Amino acid sequence: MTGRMPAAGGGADDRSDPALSLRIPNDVAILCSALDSIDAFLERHGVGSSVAFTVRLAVEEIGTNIIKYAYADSARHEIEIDVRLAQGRVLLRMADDGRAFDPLQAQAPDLGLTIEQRTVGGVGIHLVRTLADGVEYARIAGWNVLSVAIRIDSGP
Amino acid sequence: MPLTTSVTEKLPGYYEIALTGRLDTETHAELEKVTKGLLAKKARGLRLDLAKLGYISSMGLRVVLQLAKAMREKQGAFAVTNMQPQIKKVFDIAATLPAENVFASVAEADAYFDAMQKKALGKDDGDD
Repeated sequence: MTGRMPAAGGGADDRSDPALSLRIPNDVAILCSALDSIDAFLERHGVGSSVAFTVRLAVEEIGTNIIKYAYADSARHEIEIDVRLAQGRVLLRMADDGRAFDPLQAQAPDLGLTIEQRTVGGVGIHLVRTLADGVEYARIAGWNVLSVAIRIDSGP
Repeated sequence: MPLTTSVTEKLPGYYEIALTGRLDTETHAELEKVTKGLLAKKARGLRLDLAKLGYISSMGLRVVLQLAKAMREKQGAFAVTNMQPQIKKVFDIAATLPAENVFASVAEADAYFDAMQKKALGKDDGDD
């Protein structure tokens, strides 16, 4: 709950890459304004609307899942959202200090069921996995870290 | 541009709701509020025109699906038209709407509404 997510080791981190780092509390309204800041950042760097659509969807779906399901208490928590443009991709990293949860291990929703019958949250993660070019999960020092890559050349 | 909705009664009891902006965590309650009023007014048909909808998330999908379900339970007509490619992709991935509710154009949806209305008129004598 306190303390920072340790920096990822051995990074291909280039300080000259355009990057946006947001630290938000576990609050849906603030998550929604973070989505607008990310849109503005992507637009400023000439990222097309179809890529921005996928980035917004990833941050919204992952963020709302964290806020709804990650915490065992009702305390204020910090969620880290990092967006970086590198190697022709948008690299998104979201980290939370909630209970260990790897959404990639979660069952893909049974699409034969109606949306009301499906696992809550399952549809959102399924959308992100399908639209993004890569999603990876790691548990690092008590933080869930989800890394999402979205190719910038994929569409207008 | 969060979400604006514009409701037009195309035929008695048949409404078109044009959505502009985003249908997501932040705005889905807005659409729910509008449709709740129409359902209370005994709408027989609802058509969502998504020509100007730029974004949808799983919360938005959920509302559209609940609407489809509510209309089905009333044996009313429900249609979604003019999905932008990205929106269509999200619907396809989530496989949320039966194909019979999705129309490429307003003309197709109108034909469907006409047919539904004729069916409804044949069944009852135009109550309200």
